[in-house]
Amino acid sequence: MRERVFKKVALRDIDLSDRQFIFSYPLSPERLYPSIKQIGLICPVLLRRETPPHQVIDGIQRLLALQDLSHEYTEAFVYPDSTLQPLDAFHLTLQQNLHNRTLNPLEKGLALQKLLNQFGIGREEVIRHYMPLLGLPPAEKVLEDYLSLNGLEEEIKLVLVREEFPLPLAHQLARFSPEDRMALFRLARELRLGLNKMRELLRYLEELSLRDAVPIHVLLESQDCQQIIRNQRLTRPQRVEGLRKLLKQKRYPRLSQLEQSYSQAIKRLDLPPHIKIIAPPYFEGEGLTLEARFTDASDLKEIALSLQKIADREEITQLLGCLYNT
Amino acid sequence: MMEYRPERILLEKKVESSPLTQRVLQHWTGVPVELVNEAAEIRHYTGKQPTLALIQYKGRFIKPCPGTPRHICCNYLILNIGYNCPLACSYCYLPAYLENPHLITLFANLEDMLGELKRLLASRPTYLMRIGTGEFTDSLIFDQITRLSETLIPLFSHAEGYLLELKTKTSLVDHLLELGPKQRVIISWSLNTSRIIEQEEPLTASLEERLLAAQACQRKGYWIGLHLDPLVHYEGWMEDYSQLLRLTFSYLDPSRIIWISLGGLRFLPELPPLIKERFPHCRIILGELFPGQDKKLRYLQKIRIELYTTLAILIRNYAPQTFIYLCMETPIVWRRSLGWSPQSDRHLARLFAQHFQAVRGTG
Repeated sequence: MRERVFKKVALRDIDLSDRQFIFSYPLSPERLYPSIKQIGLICPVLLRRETPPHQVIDGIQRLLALQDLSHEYTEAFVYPDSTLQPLDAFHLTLQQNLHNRTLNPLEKGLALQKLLNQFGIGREEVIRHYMPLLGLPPAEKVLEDYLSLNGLEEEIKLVLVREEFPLPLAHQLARFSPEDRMALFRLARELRLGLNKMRELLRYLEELSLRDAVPIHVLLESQDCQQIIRNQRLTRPQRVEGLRKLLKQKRYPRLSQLEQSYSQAIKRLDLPPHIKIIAPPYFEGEGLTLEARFTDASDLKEIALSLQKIADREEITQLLGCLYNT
Repeated sequence: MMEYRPERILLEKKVESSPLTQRVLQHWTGVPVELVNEAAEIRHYTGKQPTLALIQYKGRFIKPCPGTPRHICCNYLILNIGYNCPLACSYCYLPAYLENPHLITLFANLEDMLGELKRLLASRPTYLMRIGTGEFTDSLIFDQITRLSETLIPLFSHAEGYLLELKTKTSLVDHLLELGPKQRVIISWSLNTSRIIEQEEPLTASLEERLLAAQACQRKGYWIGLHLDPLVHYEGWMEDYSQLLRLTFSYLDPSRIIWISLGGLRFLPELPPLIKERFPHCRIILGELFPGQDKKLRYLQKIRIELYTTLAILIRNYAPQTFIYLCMETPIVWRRSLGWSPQSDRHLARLFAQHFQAVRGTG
């Protein structure tokens, strides 16, 4: 057991702005008001430095609650700074927290950031030793993902903590500019996008942004996108599908044009339901495939007649024209 | 054009005294050299600084070009002289095959390479075989240092049935000009519009530098090959490619151009993410590219046909007799673009031979 002193400490002697060892997120002392009002502080806080101002090792939420409730003193274990080095203090609070509760992803991200930047622990050691301690796979990519959470806006961080937003999606959003990130975040919230749908939309948006040199938030604010996103007459899945189609069309204008002209020609041909003319994927190939289903000889004759009728139609040239100039 | 200088040389002990090694070490004096016992030790090399490895290659140096399924291939033989290239063109397919883009490997056991080549050249092929060194690296980027061509070119002088093709995006040809005999050697240039060269091939020689080098080679009696590959579809492509051809034929005599290949931009599906990582602002991956029958990403068939048809018409205006072929394309694209299609890979190889015989008489 490390040397420590249990004592009553005046709140004014504690530097509450020193957050060297703190990775709790969010700081919401109001949650503790009822219990403090009812039974006071059950668990003493941990402080460092024998003489004021003391540093907070563990218990910032409790201290802020006491301050808000106009308490003047707290009970604390005080560790002398001569025997408890800063990294030891961080280990102490890390162990204490891991023992008592599960850290949320933001707290894990903050703890990792402090280890790297504040305590100068090497990346490799952080990955090898600390990430498993935090219940994370020891991988560079995972470290990057968690560190990236620190740069997110409060609005995103808070929904992440409440588990109202998928974590992998937050990792994805972290690499965008603040404006683009917030636009994407609002889109994901508005349309309640799952990871796969968001990935597809993101791919289109990123590629369009790079191709046309237009930021993503500007693309999303365009009239045609907004008309779909805000169309309350459509269900959410319909809006998602509408936006997906619009972005795909913008990203692949030639393909979309071919698809449109193909489906228009097919429509105009008005084929009987048991005859199909199928284009190869992406209109890449030697020709079109004709598929016909018949159950008896008279069916077959009828099909032959239908085919004879359509063979000379201009639409056939239009269909083949989607593959090559005829 | 950029000048390459490695920051480190990894040298396999077995090739320490090879003439190629000696030439390389003499050229880059002062570059730290690290001896390794086995080439296998550098297989997973992760260094991020420009590094050159000189190793003993134990595999077969000469292999057929793998081509691509369901597409017509031209029965090309690759003489593998090394892996990777410092020119770092954005669309290059090599990063999809290489573990470390910073590591360039040269095979220093020349006697093994030449032994294998001599055995091949001594045999009589059934049809003209084209052998090129520019598949896994640029043929000429290190040639002034390694002097490999000085040995290769004379070997082909009597190699009836074989042609040597040295393919490059450089202008490093001074050392080739006085070599010979040259009648079975083709120096080829990959050409593209100035815009694509500036954006996607910024470390290579400029278009005019390449054409000047090609002109010098042509004047010294070499056959010239041109590869308009990758053709990139962008706004203004037609005007830019017209300008490219205008310039090309103002420098080169079409009767001494043995062939011109056309190839649309294409990628292995795993390449675009690698390109994105290496060149975050690269825009050519943002074209309308879709998986074809061989899973490679290509422009829509209709766009490719438009590109090839236009280019073929433009080329024929300047060089009506020059053999034009498509690289890794389907029979339907051949027919719709050039008006004909080889019946098979072998048929295409025979056509190369026929064309070579024909121009040899006139050239």
